[in-house]
Amino acid sequence: MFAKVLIGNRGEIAVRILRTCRELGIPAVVAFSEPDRESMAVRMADEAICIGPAEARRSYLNQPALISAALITGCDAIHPGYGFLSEDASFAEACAVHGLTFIGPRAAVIERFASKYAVRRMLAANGLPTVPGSRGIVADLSDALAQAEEAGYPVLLKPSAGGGGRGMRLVRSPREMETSLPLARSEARAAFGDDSMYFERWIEENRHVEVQVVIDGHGNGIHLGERDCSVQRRHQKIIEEAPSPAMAEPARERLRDLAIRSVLAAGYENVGTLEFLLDPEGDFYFIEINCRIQVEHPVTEMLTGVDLIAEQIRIAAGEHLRLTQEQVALRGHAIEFRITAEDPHDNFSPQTGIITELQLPAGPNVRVDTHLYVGYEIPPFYDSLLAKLIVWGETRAEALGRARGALDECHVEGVKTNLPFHRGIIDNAAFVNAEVSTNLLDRVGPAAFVGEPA
Amino acid sequence: MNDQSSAEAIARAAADLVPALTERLNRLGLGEIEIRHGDLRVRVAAADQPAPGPGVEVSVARPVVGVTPSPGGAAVRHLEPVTSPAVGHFVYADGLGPGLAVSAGDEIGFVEMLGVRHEVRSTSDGVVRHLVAESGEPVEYGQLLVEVDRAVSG
Repeated sequence: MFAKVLIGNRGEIAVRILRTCRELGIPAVVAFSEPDRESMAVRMADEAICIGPAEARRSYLNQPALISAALITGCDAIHPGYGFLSEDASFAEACAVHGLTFIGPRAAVIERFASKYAVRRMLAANGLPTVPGSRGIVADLSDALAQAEEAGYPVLLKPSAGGGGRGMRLVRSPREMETSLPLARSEARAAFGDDSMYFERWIEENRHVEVQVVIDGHGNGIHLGERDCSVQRRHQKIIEEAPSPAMAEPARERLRDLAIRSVLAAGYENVGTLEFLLDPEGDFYFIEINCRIQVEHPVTEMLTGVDLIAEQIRIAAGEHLRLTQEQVALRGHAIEFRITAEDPHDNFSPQTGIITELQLPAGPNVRVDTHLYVGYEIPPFYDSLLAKLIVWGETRAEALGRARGALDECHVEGVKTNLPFHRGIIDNAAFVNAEVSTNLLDRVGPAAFVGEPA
Repeated sequence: MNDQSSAEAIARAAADLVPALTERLNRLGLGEIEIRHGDLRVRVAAADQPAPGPGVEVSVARPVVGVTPSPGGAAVRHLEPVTSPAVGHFVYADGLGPGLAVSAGDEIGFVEMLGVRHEVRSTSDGVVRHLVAESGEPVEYGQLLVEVDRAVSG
């Protein structure tokens, strides 16, 4: 096991990783940028080290600074969290060069799974159904136009190096392709330093379902069920739940089984998530794999009792998986609500400010992952996630009831949050009846789900 | 210096300099600070000056002499922090020590980050007051390394 772990991330996930390190008895060092000096992770940590200024490029994305910070504090591993450098093969490689273990897949594995198009083809060869789309990266506009004509509009343009919905554009016609392709390219270049794009036919009414896999470095792998993340706004997930309320046996078991078998065959390791589109007929199509821990991982933890961060660390340390598929019990229903510093009454514009009052829900089967405290100033430099509220119930109805109470208990003052949206949607018939497709919020406008201003 | 400017200088000294000097005196644990400008001299001394005990670091030089006169006002001193531009091991430039006069841009030392030297330069003209870091010490980004005593017109 590792002597000491550097946590190269911020916000709630830095706190989350710190907690597991403590449970495992591993000392941890929190790396932080200047504006995060007063963050909860830094306050909680036994040891913390400033790696750069606010600008992520010079701090949380600064590979030499993170590696140097790990070395001078005596760490032998780096946990990248999600976002930032979590899926960067060059960073994983640089860690290895300096004798540090990157807590995630090895560099060669990330590399192999980095190109979304290549992965689609690789996993399709291992039996996963995929959405019709471009044959690889589109060369230029005329290539994109010709191929889109063949696949059929609408198509979703995606950056090959991308993730988290950034740089994606829905294109409905050749004319839109002409304007969208250059824009999408420049967005992708700015966000990922790589402007190669591919596209898939857009399945208008779809749900987003993903399968969590855990695979050790010795060829043993299990799935921990699926999550349904269909409540999205502009491709950003807002609510996630498990199991998917839109799937039934035997399709559900087939999805889980195909997912784990195909990635095992393709040589994946560590924790990962395979994302699928589910169409109204119940057919699913593989879209991409995320080689990192995900924001919504607690949903799976509530269902299985497995600490996914601990699994990541153990696998990176070379340990064998301690669970077999037969030992995994997926029990009850869990729902996660992402509470963000966004004003739902003002088109979800990002908010900053100082938390002046804070009351978080608690009670049986209620979990809150957050980095908030009274007096904390939300910096304008990073993402708007403030807290994740996760509830569990024996059934979906029970989980919804618990969520309603927990959301009512939430009280945050000093900064506007999207809590009114969550309180609104939880009683919305489309959500209660599991009829929300990923485009619903953008089509109807999320304001329709927001309750009256308090 | 005519009578009027002299009176102004004394008024300014009373209003600005004495509190500032007193604060600095206490903060740095000095016995006394004196500044001179033309025939104006301001000296602030601690009421009871404890003798430095064993283990007390006295790396700070005696309060500085030779204030650069600035036209139209009395001079005050500013401690200018020089901080680390990188995460790594800090090494002083040869010959750097308290009392050394430096100009803005002069090399104070470097931080070695993964074998790459990141130069640390003085941000102002002045005199090295205090070596805060130790040579070879691991430092974080923004860590205080050196304080440079900078003269500014007040």
